[in-house]
Amino acid sequence: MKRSGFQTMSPYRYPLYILFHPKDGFQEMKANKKGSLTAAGIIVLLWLFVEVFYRAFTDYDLNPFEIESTSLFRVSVITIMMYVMACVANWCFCTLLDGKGRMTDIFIVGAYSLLPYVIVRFVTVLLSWLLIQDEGILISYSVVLAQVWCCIMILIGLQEIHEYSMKKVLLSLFLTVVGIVIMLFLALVLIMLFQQLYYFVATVSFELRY
Amino acid sequence: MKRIIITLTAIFLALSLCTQTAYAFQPDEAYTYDGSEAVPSTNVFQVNTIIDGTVMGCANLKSAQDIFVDSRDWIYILDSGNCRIVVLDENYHCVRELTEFNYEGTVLTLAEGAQGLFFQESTGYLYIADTKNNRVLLSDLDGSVKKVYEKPESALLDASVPYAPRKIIVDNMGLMYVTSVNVNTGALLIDSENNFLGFYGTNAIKETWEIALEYMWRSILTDEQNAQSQYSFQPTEFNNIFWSEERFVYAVSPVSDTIASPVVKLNALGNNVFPGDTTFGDLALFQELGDTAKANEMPLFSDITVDNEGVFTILDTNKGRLYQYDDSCNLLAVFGGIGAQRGLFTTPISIESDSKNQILVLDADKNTITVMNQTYYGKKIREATVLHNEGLYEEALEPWFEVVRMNANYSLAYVGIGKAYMELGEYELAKEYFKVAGDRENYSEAKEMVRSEKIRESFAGIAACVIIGMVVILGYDFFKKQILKIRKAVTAKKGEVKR
Repeated sequence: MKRSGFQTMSPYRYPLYILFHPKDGFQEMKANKKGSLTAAGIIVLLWLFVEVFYRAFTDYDLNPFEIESTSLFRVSVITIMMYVMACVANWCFCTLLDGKGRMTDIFIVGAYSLLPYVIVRFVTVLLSWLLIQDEGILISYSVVLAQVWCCIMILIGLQEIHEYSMKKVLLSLFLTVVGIVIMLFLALVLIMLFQQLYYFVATVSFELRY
Repeated sequence: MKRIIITLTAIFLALSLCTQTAYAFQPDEAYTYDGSEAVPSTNVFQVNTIIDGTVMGCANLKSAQDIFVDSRDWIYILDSGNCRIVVLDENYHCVRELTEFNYEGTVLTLAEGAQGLFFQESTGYLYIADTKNNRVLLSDLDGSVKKVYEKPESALLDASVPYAPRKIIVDNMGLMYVTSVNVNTGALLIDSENNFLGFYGTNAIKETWEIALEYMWRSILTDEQNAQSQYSFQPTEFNNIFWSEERFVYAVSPVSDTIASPVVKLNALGNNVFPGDTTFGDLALFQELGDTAKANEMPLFSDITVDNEGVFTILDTNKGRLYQYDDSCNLLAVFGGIGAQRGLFTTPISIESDSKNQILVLDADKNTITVMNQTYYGKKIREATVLHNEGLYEEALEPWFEVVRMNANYSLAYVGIGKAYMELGEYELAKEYFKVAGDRENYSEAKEMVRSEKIRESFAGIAACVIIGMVVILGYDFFKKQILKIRKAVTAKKGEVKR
């Protein structure tokens, strides 16, 4: 194997390398355990920060949200929940479909793949203070571009860690979405059940007291 | 001791009475819309007087259906329950009372339940839509009828539908626009010789995917199957029409899923010139409630009136409320409500505005006319909007500030202030006000101005930086070359020495 720069790279510079060399990068990561859980965690936290930053600090004319009626806590919880659920769902289905990736691998691939979006989102928030509404198309286009980039990275990353064909990656991604829906449904049912239980207990105690 | 207590109580009582008379008391909480959210507001209208039989100096009204106010502020009332026309002068005293009309030697009377009245000032003739008698009477103020218009002859008019004129307006040429019960193809355009000229201003059908789907099904299914279909996409008929001096016809229709807008301003061709996406009255709220809305929460727009500044007011009979808008459909005021108190109505049926910007509300149940005049706040809003709509933003600045001082919830005022500051070149301030108003488009414009101003200001600095940078880079290259040359020369020399 030829020696190149990335093999001796620090785990915090590694995601930046993968950004432009997803195929080599993820392969190497899988083979030599180059992925860093800390780096992945930091990226996910950055994502969370950027999502909040985007809602709170985009300039008014380019901000589709009304900051007064946006709960930043809710945004953060939803962001993290989405990420965790996607990882878990993917892990569940890929284990069944002979995927070689472990939970940590999935977590790291997901996080590293988010990096383009995180960076572009951050830059667009800063740009929003310079651009006016007519030029806002620049922002939306660059965000779409970043999202496409993220998708490509996720596809390649999953392909590498699970040792799948592209067809199977797409199938597993579809199943992941299904898995998320199932999880949400179960959560909803559970919440409703507990609500019923709560009301039942509350009514009984109310009846007992009066 | 007892005496002191009694005097104190008396004083307090007197004081409490004082406070009640000192404020313009309005029983209903005023509100306005900030975006789609209803927020508290200051009262824009208050009760001036209430006209009933004692004020008029004649018998009380009985389920009157229509009023008309001319430019002298004379009021013409169609007192349908008593089958008469009452004419009041500007002091609300009865000057004429018409019950019998002479037509070529015979005496005509109105049938109970006549619905429409129009007074043409240039000729001095009254047009009365005598609904139950299926005719329109053209009479002067002395009660002598000049003409009786029965159903015009035309193949376009369905013979099976009886002619029952409801509301009538007449333009300067003497053309009558008559709405008839159960005719949903618009107002009938009739000339002074009773020739039917055509329909005017049919309500446009809203283009929704449901209608497209239904249209597709109808083209596939057989006629028998179509006949069974319950779905109808017929337009609703006008509830009321109004002729404005600027030669536009304003019309209100019942709210329905099929028509594009219940409030329209029609040009000579019968096309709506209002922006199509405006929601009038509490329509937004009603649409938000969706299927859970009760029947009495559905707006029922029954009359519209326009004053000489282009400000129009619509009446929602179900809620008893009046909504006033300026020419660009910005909400200026919401007032009224259902109730027995002064300033509330039970069945408001017809509204008119007079030359002093007062609104007259005819209540068919209370049998009174309530005259509402503008409060100080209302006058300021009016002054500001009129200046604003004429483009005199700077002049409107002072009244807008006064409006904001009295009601901080009125978002249009902030737009006005922002525009004034734009005019004055205070772009940063303008930006702030547009943000408060929630006006992203104008905010962006102000931001652009701020940006170009900053670039202009710091252009010298930027240019200097660029020039210095270029000099540095070029200079660096130059010196690098020189140094390399020297080094080469030195090494060459050293080599020579070594050799």
